[in-house]
Amino acid sequence: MKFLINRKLVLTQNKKRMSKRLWIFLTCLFVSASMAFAQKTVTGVVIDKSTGEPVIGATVRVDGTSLGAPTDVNGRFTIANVPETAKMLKVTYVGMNDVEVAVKQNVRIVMEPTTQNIDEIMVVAYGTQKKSSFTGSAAELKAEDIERHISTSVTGSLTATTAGVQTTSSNGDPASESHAILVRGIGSMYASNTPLIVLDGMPYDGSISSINPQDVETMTVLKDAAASAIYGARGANGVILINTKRGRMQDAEIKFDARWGSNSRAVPQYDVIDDPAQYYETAYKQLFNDYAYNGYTTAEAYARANARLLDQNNGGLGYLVYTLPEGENLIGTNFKLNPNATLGYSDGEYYYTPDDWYKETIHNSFRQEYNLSISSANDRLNYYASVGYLDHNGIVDQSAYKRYTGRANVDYQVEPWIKFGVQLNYTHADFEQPDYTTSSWASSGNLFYHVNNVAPIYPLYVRNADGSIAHDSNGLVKYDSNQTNQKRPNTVGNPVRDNQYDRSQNYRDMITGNWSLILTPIKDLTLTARIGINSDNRRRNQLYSTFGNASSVDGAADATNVRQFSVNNQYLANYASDFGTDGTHNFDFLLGYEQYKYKYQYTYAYNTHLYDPYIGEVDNAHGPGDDKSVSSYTNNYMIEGIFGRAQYDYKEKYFVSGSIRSDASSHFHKDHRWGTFYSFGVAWNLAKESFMEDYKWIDFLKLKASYGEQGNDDLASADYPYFPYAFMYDISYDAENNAYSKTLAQIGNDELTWEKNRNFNIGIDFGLWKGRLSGSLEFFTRSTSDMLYFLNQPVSSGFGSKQKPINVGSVRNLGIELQLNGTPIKKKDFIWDVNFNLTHYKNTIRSLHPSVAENGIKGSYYIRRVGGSLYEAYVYKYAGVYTKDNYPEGSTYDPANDGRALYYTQVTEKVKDAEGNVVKDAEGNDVTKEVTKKTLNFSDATQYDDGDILPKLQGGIGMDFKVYDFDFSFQCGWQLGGRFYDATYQSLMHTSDQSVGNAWHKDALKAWSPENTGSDIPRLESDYSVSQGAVDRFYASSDYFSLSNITLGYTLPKAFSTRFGISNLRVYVAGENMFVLSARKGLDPRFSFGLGGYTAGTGYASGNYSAMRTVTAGISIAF
Amino acid sequence: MKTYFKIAILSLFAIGFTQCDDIDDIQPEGDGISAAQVTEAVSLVPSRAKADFVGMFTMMGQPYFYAPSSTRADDFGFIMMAISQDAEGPDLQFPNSGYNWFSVCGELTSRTPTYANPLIRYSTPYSQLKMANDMLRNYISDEAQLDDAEFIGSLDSVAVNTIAQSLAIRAFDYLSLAPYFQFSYAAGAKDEPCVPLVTLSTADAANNPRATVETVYNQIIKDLTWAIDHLDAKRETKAYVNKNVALGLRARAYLATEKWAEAAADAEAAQEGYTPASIADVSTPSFYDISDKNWIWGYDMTTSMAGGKYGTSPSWIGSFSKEAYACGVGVYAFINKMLYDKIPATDVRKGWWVDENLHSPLLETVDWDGVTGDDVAKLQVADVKEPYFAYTNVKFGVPSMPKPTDQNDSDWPFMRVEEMILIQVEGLAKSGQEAKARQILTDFVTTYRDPSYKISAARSFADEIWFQRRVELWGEGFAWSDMQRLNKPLVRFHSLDETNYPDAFAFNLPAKDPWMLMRFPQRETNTNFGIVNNTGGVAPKIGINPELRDGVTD
Repeated sequence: MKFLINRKLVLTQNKKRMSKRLWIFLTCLFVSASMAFAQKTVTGVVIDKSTGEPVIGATVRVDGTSLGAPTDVNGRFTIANVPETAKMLKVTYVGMNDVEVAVKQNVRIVMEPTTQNIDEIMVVAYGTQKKSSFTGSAAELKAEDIERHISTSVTGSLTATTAGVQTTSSNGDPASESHAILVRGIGSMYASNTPLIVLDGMPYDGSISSINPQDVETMTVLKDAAASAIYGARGANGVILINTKRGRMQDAEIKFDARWGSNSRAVPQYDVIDDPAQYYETAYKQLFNDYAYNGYTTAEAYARANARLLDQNNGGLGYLVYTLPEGENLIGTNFKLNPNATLGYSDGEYYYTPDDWYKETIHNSFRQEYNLSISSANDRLNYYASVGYLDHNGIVDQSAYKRYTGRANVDYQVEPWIKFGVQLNYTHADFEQPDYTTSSWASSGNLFYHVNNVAPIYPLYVRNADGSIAHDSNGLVKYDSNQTNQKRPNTVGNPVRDNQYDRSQNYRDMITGNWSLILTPIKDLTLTARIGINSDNRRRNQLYSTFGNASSVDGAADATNVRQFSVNNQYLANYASDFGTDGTHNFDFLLGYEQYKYKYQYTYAYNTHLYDPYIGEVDNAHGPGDDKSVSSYTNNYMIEGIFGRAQYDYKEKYFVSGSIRSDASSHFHKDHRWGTFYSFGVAWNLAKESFMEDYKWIDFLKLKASYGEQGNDDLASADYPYFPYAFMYDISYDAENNAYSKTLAQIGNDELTWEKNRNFNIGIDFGLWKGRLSGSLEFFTRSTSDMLYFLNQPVSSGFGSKQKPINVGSVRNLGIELQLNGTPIKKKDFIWDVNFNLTHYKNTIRSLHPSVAENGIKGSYYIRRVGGSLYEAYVYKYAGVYTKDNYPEGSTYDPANDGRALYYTQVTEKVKDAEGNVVKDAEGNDVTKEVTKKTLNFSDATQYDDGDILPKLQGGIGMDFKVYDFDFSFQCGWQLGGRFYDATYQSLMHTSDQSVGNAWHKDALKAWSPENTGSDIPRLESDYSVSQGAVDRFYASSDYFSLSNITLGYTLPKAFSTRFGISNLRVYVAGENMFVLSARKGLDPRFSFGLGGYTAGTGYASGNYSAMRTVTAGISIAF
Repeated sequence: MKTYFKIAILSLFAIGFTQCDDIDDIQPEGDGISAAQVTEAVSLVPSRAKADFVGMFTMMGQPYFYAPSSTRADDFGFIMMAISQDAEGPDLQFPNSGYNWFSVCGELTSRTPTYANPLIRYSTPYSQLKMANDMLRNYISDEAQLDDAEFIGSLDSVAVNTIAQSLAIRAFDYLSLAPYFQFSYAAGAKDEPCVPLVTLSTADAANNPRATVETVYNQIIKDLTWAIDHLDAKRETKAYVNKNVALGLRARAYLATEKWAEAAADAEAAQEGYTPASIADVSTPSFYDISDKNWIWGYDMTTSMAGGKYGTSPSWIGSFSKEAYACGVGVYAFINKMLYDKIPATDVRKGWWVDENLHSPLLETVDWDGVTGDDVAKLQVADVKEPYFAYTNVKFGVPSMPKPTDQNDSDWPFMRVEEMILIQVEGLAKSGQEAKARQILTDFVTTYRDPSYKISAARSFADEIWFQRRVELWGEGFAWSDMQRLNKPLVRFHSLDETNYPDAFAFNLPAKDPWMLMRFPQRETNTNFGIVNNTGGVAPKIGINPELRDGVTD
């Protein structure tokens, strides 16, 4: 095969023009067929107007033929066998405006760089559109923005690049790396806030990480109603359109990209006490204080503290890892380690010395990725095919993700009026995951929680008396799981051991297919039929090792199979035409029907007693009948909708568009199943007005406004999310009594219907100084009404934890977005691009169910009330430590309370006059007032509404430099003005016996003491009542600054590379998720939006797979 | 071209129409069953209708009933409530370590309105109450119909029996709530607000204030009286309610309302057909089988429901499970040494706990991986069993005895004939028939527990009865309600140097300390605006009130 030198991969697609070309092509087909006799050779040169330099690699095509050639290093081209009838040459090059010139010899063609934003074509709902005529609000990312990210999932590149799009990364697991994406704030309380993903025109329900980012051509986020209302159902949270690549050039382009790198933990450990002596001293001091401040003598306090320090059944640590002289105590009465103590202790049978669990467990690992693609296009056939391999390893053992992808996109013009397209993708993934879920927070089975929280006194391994690590008879390392003569107070088994010996093997096969037939039976009318399927089969085999936590049942295995299948049918009729002279009136009508069906099938089997301890299959498990567990069920979901859209513009100056869609969802009872959604948008392109002609520096200026309504039917958090309208029951069977038993599982509500999102958007888009500065400024409101909501029922009404799904209340997000792209410097060998975005929004609850409207809904850490935010903190307020200058009003100062925590409390008091008599009102009742006081007693403290914790501002800034053949870019993200409940810090500042054996933050050393009376941290003391309370002092600023991506590349000069038949060769190093600067070392405010308590919300952070940093080096070659 | 066109358009529409499946056909398939499917199943197989009735009993000890998806190890209905109530009291405790899910009871921080333990304990009786009320609604539309003899007479025997059982369950639920949210008759609190009443007449659950203690007990006695009048001794299984159960429940209610003679009479009647477990019977770990002759009412735990789950009695209060919190991490339930020391050495019940040398004769009948006798106490199996410590209980056995279980399918006693005897004794003693009471008590203990028993002269007879209840019913959920009913202080220790309680749980509280009252969960006060919560008191600190005494463990 002969590889022709060709231009760089083209990054945009011009579908609208395609139809025009098609007609030209059809006319020319006959012309060329009949007159293919006389031929000639055409030569010429292509020059860049801005620099006067030759353009290398531009494509020159003879219009109406399949002939063409790229320009060489001198910008020259030669095309042989050009028919005499050929009239025009067409030259294209990325970043330059297309040029058409008449065919002549030695032609000199001058190309002008594209001015950004002018007539750029963008992907919109059910098609493409000129950016200038788009009345909605959308943000677009192109392949080059996406490829630069070293990310498993394509949505990773949205981080910090797009105004109005907020991403949180709750998980660094290579096997489930995902980003929670919020478009324009939180619109739902209980319904999903996840945007709809539309892949190649079809709603996509598969795993986002199953799409190879390298296959993506564009990713467009539709933010307002005008843009997304046509998706009606499920468009309420914004829509992300992902289109995969197509062939663009005549001759095959082959691209190969390889990357090798390293994954590491991105966010460091909190600043914990890592010196065992210091840890013992702190624990001892806390125990001592429990007695010394509670009426016991100092001598008794020393004695009790010594008695308890190592007693794991009495709130003590359980472990001694120091050798002490006979009869001496570990900690002296000066609260310091006995100077005669030496680290390491042997009881004759075992040797005990602490291990650094963090260092033993968390490590860097290897990442490699290879992608190969081939693409080409001619006037009838367009194809893109790719294969990819990703080997992505985690920061702990048994954590890995291997992904194999293969894609083929083919479009074929069967007849001038028939086009057929197929997009097929196959993804296979093999992965291993360690045992953690945020819901297993605080479980000693959670690897991450434990490694982050274990005190620095506990051994990871069992050691023989001589200090060597013990092995069992199979040679396996013995991990400490309470089998020695010392016992830990809070850890069952050993999660590091289980991670070594248990196995979680996952297999996933996913086929995504998309077949389309496009007919153009008459001019301007396009009929499209499209069927998309997504088949996702997952299998998980979990082995619980007999050498680990399943020793009691001699090993156990489970196998889970999940089959998901969805099919989407879409039928569209589009009529686009113009009338009047020169397209004065342009219009475009779309009518469509869409139907989506989804099936989820689950099968699970479990049994114990593995004959072969290493085979994690149920047929290897021979446990008794009572141990067996099996489960299977199927869930179905369906929506269907009909929709229409009309667009009109007058001379491309005034634009009007409107859409309407009616949708039915099987989530709702059939009487409340249909919802109708609509949108309306207008735009005014000022730059085209005659009065603007004098302002030559304005390329583009558009005012736009839109309003519309969308629906949301996704009650994401329900136990039975598929049928919220139905009362659901659980059935069990008692074989001994031959009796079925039925209990309520879900409260249904057949009145339940669509949640509605009303979006209003007004904005300005602009391009100035020939593309040197462009951007948009938008103002939006996003109001949710009929909010899908789970209403708590009075516990006394007997519904237990079950909640009733209802439509209730409304929430509004009011916001402003600014997006700027500028090119401060643009010279031949030095280009500097800057992008900047900024978003501010305010979330307000506008109404609530009558039963809770007055008092709001109070939780252990949140309050939802009318006028407040969905992210409103509800906390106990810390009033500092008790001192002689700060103690409860009206009490007598007692030095014994020095250093104790004070909290605020609201007290109703009778008003007294100067004589001390209670004041009465006109009716003779006592006049009262509410006063804020301080209290030592946490159970008297008041929980206060502490306001919205969402950031005031968030955004990103990025820069791109091209200096000669080097390119350098970085992208940063930041947010300001919000708060994050740092529950991990709270747990590291623990005061409860139930946290004994947990790591302590070094701030615990700074607690108030008679020697450190200036401290604002309460004295060390057991305080169970407060230990799990949400206290305002644990709110930290959620401000952060992160470097999300940095890339340095070098492209071999074309003049050089073309000699080797290579059109493009680039080597690069790139770093993803490099660092985050936050208010406290260890705190990653990107984990969630910041609201939480000790055991919920942000409280789960320490049980989570920490974010990963990836640094890679790569090479990219195109032929 | 035209032919192509037609074919293409036709095929397009053909595909379009064939794909127009009826969205109304989408139904659950196995992941729960919808109300419509229940109706269908009942019409196809009418016997399925009984599942509601069975469900009312199944939920009582169902692991993770309150929050199925959370699978909390302390979520198992009335059995968890019994353990919590005892762990708050003076006699039963768990070690103070990170493994102890009942530490909120040990610390008495269970008064925090946002904690799960008190929420589950509040929610469980009301959930069953709703099922009972729903069951009643199948037959009657308002409470007044219960008094309409003609109407009741028109119902078939199954209907009447179902109504009677449902009313008895309703009463049981209030008996499981009332002692914890307000002080007792003995404390002079009968006119104080207790818990909200939910009957068929309850109009607005969102504005349902607390009824007084007296109102609650009047409802209990009314419901039970109806049940007793319409039940007999027959029933399908001992998991359901019969006349004995209803009588026993009313005896408890009379005891709480200080109607001593009525309590004695009901308790005596409830014993009919049941005999106490013999010395031999309880010389081995027992109290796990509903078919035992001394069980009047119990929870019938099936293997499929319990299988290996941590939300079960053997996981917590048992000491013989290979799949358990208690054994796996050594968080065994143990008895307060102060009470243990008061049990005579000749009493078989002394063996229900290992002594300070880890000895108990009950262990001789246990075979754990070939280990028997006191060696069982010392046995350590990595990840499976930690050694017992002093005063660890071995009272509760498992169905796989003499071997340990990994199924945790022990049944649970809700009412034993021994309790009825002790109620009878107390009722008689306090209604002026102390001599008879002494005789019955002496007969019972000498026959079934301690052949050389003599009623102690060191304590009052009332305290002697309480002592017998505390020993006999240890772990079965009576400790706190007895203490409140008798208006006694909470006495867990005398001196930190002598107690076997963890220091953090070693404190005493005087009678009627406001901290003794449970708080209504935040979830209730958020949704039922009729509730005015209990207030007052302070979370107890280590070693407070060491001077208090309760008359039993002095």
